[in-house]
Amino acid sequence: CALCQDFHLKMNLIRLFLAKSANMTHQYPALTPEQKKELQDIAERIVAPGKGILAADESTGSMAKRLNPIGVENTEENRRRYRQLLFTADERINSCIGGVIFFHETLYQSTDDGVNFSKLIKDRGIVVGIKVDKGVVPLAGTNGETTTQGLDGLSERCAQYKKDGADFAKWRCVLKISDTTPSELAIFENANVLARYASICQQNGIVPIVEPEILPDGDHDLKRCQYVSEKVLAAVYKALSDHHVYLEGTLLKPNMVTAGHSCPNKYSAEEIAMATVTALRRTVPPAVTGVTFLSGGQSEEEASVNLNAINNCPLAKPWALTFSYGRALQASALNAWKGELNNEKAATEEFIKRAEANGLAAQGKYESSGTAGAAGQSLYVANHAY
Amino acid sequence: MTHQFPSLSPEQKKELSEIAQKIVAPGKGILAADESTGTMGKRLQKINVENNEENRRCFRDLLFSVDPSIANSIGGVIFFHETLYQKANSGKLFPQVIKEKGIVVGIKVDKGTAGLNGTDGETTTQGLDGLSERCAQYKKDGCDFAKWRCVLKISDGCPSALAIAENANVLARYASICQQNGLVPIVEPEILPDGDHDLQRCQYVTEKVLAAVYKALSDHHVYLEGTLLKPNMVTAGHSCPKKFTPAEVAMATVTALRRTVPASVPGICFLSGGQSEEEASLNLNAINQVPLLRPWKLTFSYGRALQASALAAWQGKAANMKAAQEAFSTRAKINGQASKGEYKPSGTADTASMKSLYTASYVY
Repeated sequence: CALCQDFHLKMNLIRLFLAKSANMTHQYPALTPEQKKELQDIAERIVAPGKGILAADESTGSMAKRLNPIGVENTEENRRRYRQLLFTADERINSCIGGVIFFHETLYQSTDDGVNFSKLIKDRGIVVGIKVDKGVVPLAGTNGETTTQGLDGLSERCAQYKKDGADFAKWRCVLKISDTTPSELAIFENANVLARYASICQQNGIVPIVEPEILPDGDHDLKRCQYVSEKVLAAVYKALSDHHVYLEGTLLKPNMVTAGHSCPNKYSAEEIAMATVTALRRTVPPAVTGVTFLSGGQSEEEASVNLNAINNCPLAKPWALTFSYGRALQASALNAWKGELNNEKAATEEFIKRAEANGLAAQGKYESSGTAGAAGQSLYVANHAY
Repeated sequence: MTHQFPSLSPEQKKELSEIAQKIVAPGKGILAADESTGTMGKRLQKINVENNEENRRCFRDLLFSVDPSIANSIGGVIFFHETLYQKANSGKLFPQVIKEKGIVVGIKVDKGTAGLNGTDGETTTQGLDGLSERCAQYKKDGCDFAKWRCVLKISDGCPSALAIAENANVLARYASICQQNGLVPIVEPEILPDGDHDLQRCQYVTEKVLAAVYKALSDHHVYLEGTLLKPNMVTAGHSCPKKFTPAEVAMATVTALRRTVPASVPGICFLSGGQSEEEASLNLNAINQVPLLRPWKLTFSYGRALQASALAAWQGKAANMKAAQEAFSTRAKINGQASKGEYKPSGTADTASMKSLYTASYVY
């Protein structure tokens, strides 16, 4: 009746008011113990000792940038053939690849024999991940800064991806260093959207990889990058706390702390390692299961040598420190392939080589054999966006 | 937020970091002897001793002139302002007595809590006015670290967002000012154990408070390697009908810290709150046995939990001094062991069977 409806309406308003005024004081657990356990187990499997991530989630547009330089047409079939030669690598990668990040299209593609890629990867004990963001969009009123979109319907998409074999996701935010950036808004907004994404993923049994990439573009020095990295990561972890994200069921995918590409000063791997580990120690809570670095524009060899130095840094490092590499795992493979069927085996070998190198680097056991060949060439692309 | 204007030189950072490491050297913790005049009144009243300057001096002298081997368990002593300028029976200034034992001298610098209007009896802490000049003077007078206590409470509507933000901010301002003057700031965001809330609630609130504290420290450009944290352990409220074991307290505490305190913080020195001496030692010991990675030292900064027996033995009588000193030394030694997870009270289970107590009724 009308009276009852009015009463209930008033009660709901009162409840809402009380809930708002008691905002930080009571816990409304976001996850059950079982959900937490599942998330933590997934995260730990991905970054098990000696393992890292193959980031094979290049969007269609990004794949064009990979395939054009080797004279291969950017068709769905070519993209399928290329991912196939990575995913069918032999058992040697099982001990160094803990997870593979897919692009949506790839999740539903199959091998020549009709085996679904997601199933193929999962059946060999490697965790399947999926890129879920929908690219960057500008932040009006800033100096060309961005946030990342993709929250709409994200929960439903995650639920579907979980059914289709995915156990982790990835979302990339981008910040840049200049005289006026990153601005407070960019830091805050990107941290917030990463936290929303992470929260939604966890509700659907998906481990979120949180990626606040600070681009290497610019002439800033190592110290500047370290300073900015610390500010960005502090904001990220405050946002994750505010959004009640379960840290043990997350991974972080940050940039290493490096000087900008146009910086006149050059820094050694040890300097990069020290700056990186210091920044992380100041910001990333020990509860975070693992840190999986992006390779940015680093060459394959650089990325391995730096990761190795990071793992040899003489400071206490309470999280796994490993790789989530795209270009730095695939550059040589792409060059060897050039789209030719006859080159597939050789291309796969190149990938396996880099996977093993990085598996060693993730344990601080990598011995660089020089920077000859494609492995040494800088993979820097100005103002990189996928 | 884009450019760094370094607040400390490399030399300043090195000095702060070394002081902090010295205080929380393995097996060592802090004697919190910084009871204000009013608080000392409460302690002395219990043993029917008059609260005058001489009695306060006498009791501190009792503590500070124990055998130098105390330095194996005590890395730092926090002073109250009055005590910093008092002398031992030997005629030496107290800071000198402490320093000669190889123990670092600290000073309480806050000026007590002040009401936050429009809240349910919540507070912030005052003391920022002229703090830089005070710190500079304390440094000259032998201090190398400072302490500032903020207080939060758990109830249906507390802690409020304002209380959390304001206390985190004032702690960060204090920390920043200390470091400018070569003093290591001990950051103390105490969440009171008053109330009937359970362990889980305390853990939740502690995580929110500490996340805010470390965000504020980052915003204020505080050098974490040159700080210490003095938090409450995660415990149920005093009136909570459910009781929790030291293992449960330890797991909840370490989990909360792992989720919020960066690894670069060299040490976490727990306050004892209303815990008994033995409780405080057992809990600290259990904390140091939790099978999770703990990248900071986990030790004590105890007031009552180091002094209760000593006070009771002393009773204000010179004849009881040795017994009182014995009591203090014993607690110091026990807590030193607890800070390494090596305290074995007679008649309790060994480490292996302690581990079985970690099976949680809930996932932390």
